[in-house]
Amino acid sequence: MSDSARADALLANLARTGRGRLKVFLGAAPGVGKTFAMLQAAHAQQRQGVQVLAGVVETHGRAETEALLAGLQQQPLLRSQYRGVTLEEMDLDGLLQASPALALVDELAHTNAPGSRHAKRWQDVQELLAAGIDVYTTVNVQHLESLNDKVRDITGVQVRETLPDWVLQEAFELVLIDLPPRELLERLREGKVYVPEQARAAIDAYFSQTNLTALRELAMQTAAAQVDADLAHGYRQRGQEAPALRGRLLVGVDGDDQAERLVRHASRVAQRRHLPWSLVHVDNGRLRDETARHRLQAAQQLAERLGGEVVLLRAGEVARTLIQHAAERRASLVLVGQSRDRLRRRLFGAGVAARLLRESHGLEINVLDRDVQPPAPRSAVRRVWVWRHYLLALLATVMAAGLAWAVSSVLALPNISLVFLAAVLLVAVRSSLGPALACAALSFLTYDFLFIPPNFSFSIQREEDVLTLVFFLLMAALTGNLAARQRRQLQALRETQAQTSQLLDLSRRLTVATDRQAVFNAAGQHLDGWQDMQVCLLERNAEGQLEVASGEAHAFSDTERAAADWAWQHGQAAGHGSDTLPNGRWWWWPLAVDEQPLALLGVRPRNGQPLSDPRRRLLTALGQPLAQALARARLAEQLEAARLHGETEQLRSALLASVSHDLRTPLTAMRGSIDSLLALGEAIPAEDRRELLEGTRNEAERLDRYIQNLLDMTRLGHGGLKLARDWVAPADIVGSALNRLRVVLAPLRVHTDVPAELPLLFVHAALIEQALVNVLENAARFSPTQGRLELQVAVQDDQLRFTVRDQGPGIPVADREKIFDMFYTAARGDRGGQGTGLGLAICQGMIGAHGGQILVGEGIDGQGTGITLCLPLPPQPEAESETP
Amino acid sequence: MSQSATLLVIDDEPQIRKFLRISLASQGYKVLEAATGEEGLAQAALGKPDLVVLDLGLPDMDGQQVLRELREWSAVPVMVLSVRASEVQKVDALDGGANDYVTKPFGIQEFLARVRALLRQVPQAGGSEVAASFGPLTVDFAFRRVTIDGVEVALTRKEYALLALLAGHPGRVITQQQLLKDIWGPTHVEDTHYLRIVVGHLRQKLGDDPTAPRFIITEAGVGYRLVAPAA
Repeated sequence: MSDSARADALLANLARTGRGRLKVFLGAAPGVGKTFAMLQAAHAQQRQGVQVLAGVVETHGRAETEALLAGLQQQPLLRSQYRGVTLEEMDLDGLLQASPALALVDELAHTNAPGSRHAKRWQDVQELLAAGIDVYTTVNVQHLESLNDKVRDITGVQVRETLPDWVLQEAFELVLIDLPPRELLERLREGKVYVPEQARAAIDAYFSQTNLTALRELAMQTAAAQVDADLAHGYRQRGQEAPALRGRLLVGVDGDDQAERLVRHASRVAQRRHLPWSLVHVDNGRLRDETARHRLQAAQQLAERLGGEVVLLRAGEVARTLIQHAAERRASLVLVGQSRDRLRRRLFGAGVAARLLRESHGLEINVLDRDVQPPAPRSAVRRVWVWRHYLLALLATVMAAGLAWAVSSVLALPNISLVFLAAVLLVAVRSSLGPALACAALSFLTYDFLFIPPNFSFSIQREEDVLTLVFFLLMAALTGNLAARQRRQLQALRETQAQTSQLLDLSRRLTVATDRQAVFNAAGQHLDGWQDMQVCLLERNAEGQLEVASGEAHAFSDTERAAADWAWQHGQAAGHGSDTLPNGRWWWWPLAVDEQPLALLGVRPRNGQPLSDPRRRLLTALGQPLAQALARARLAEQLEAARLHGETEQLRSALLASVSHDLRTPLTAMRGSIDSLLALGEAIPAEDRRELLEGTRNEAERLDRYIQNLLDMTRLGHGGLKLARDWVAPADIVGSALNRLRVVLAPLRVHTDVPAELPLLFVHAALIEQALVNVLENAARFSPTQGRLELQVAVQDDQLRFTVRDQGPGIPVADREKIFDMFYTAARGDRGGQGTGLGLAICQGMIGAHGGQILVGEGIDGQGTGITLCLPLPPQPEAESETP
Repeated sequence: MSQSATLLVIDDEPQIRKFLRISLASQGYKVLEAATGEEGLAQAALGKPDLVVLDLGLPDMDGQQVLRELREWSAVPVMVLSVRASEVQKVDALDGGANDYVTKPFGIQEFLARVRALLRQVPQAGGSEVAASFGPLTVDFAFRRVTIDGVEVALTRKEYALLALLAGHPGRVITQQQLLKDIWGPTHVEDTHYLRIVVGHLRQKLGDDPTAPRFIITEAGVGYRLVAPAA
């Protein structure tokens, strides 16, 4: 049980709190008694003191149901007219307002009348649940969307009012209201089931016994599936696996050519029977060639992709281990293939399958026959004749002979054989089976020749010596075999250990890699450590070309490129030492998580020889975590891009809203004034006329400033803010800003505090001026008439500070950080309170681009707002020598 | 120059031409119009205006190119209409032969003031002027004396040179590169801080508030101009 699965289950539960709980009364067909059951349950709740309100309950004129309903409080239905017909629907708003603890809503799949808030009643119910109201509801199985086809096949009627399955799956509780079909038909005949007259003919067909039985089974299956899911959920919350109530499928796989086929078959069967499944491989240490290992690995990867578990066991006996494992995992079905071809089976008896069938109890065993396939060409078994080892065998025999001769006077004849045995053991431990057996044979001959009477001849005189010799040979062969096997296993273990530690090392490096490039770098670093080969990683760039992502840039020949392309396209290894395009120097291995490769691992052995098997196995093993890391990095990139896109969209729409308002406002005033002048000109006194005209001009200036802000904002946004820095006197900036806002500042009492001697700034003057203009304009906008506005320039630490203070309403402390956020200000626009509008966000951009900052504080006498623009002071340039 | 000067307005926007025509005509100027660069150049050749108002954003030719072609055969004063926040454009125009600029959108008073300043410049027949007055400020070129309300102001050599240069082109903008080149020499064209410091001192001595200067106006990123204080 992984922690994450447990966490998910707990979270799902958490998400439910605060939301109402849905209890669904499910039935196979109308008339089974769902509404009745629902009302009964509602009454039970009411008796416990829960406030129950009936939203809509269809009684169909049945007395018992009506009686039950009468005891409950009802929300009156909403009446509406549609095409001359009066329709009644549930009053959703009324229910929401009444906010009972429990609401009753019949017929969940019902379609609402046109003009209702939601098209379907289940959507209304979702709203009720979201508001925290528990809901009881009824539904017939034929309304479930996923069963629609099945219902049509069964009854011949296509049900149009459907309900998405997830609504049911989210339900807190599901109650199956079941009625045997015969009883239901009886009810129908007795007239206890409501059936609209028009549909009587169709309904008769619908209500046949076979149909009802089939529907009943569908309903039961749905309920069962729900219960299963709930059970699993509950177990998961407790951190346990759900007990396999329905068993598990095990597929036994070896390294033969049937492996993948078995796995696919297993996955299909498991899907059909809704069983969890695992691939089981029992490693009994038998010598296995490289092809077999490859096949096994491919089968394992396939199993994982198809959703099965992979279990590797080490044991001597395959069949017995499988049975044991099946018992442990409570498997109900074991799938195996025919492990030997017909010829061998006939000679040596049946293999694993037969043994399973013989020895298992209560297990279902499926044996898959072999595919009729042309036999795969046998890959030449490369015998490695290590001459050294045979020499060692010879040497050992000679030495043993010498030693035996030396002690022959002391030891009895049979015991001399022990010396030779020791030699055989030594050879077996230091080399492999072949030399060991050779040594055994040589020792046998030597023993015979030198020690068995008559000495120095191969003939044997005494009969018991024959036995001695035979037993010696037997023992030599056995011990040699054992020792050699031990050695092999030790080698295999060592190899595994080396592989594991490499994997561990790589995994550790990969976990800290956050993006694709980091993954490539980590991989490159790791693989660089191998002396005997060059490694590189290729990935596809934007143009679809393969290029080197890590490792030195190598020049690849056309064949090598072609091999790489092929490997990418087919998702299989290609190149040097493989079956495809082997003429280049590089071997390509695709790294893939799903079907599409993410990168290519390229390996070039320095000595020009094809890759050794252990190396190749290691590389393919390393490929897995690498592929996973790449997939993870790619997902992270996609997530980030989506997030940015979302943010950009948000910003764009916020700005559009702001622009639309802020552009229109001055235009409205201008247009109004000019229209008035044109239409009513003569009637307006000259003074007022002048005022209107001045107002128009001022609004035009304001519009101009706003447009400048917009332009600046687009420049900021595109990162295209090029600073043309120059030496600027701060006083000039102040003067220019004040000049531009002359009209705006006219009604205020402006006090400036600018020292005569100020250091020079090295900035883009127009931008700083714009920032100051925005701050001043903002302050002016919210100042009371005749209010005081202070502008101060000062040097503090190594900063030059422009401070604007006003007597306006001020900015609440909580908002002070936010006012420069483009989102916040853009969304509120000019309508917002002080500190909104694009202007301030742009200030942030301008000042920030110069490496400065903006501080927000108190205004004049503790009220209002004070905004300070801080700019870093550059080291002052050398003044020229004063010449008069 | 008398008020019956002829002005040529080259701008593709009919609304702008209209209000300029009406305003300039009300001041007694004769106004010629052109909507494209080609037309403008033709009118300049035929109509022999005393001042050309040139919009830099013309449809058929780049304003700078019109300027270049005009300057090949005419020294008529040119006032350029430019957009705010493109100081580079303004500097390029001034370097390319324009005499002054106004930034769109502009006030008509400012525009007329600069027109007058430009028209005043045209042929100075007998040598340079003797003195120039800007309200209380008087610059006497002959005696190299500067007075405010009659009181003499002591200036360093560089300060005087700067003031004299600006005063020699009253109301017109002089680029900072030009100022630096003339006063400090061609190697100091990048040393704008020299200029800032001198202007600062000069303003102080002229009794100007740096945040609201009466005489020396800073054209950010472009240069300076010397004006008579507003009434």
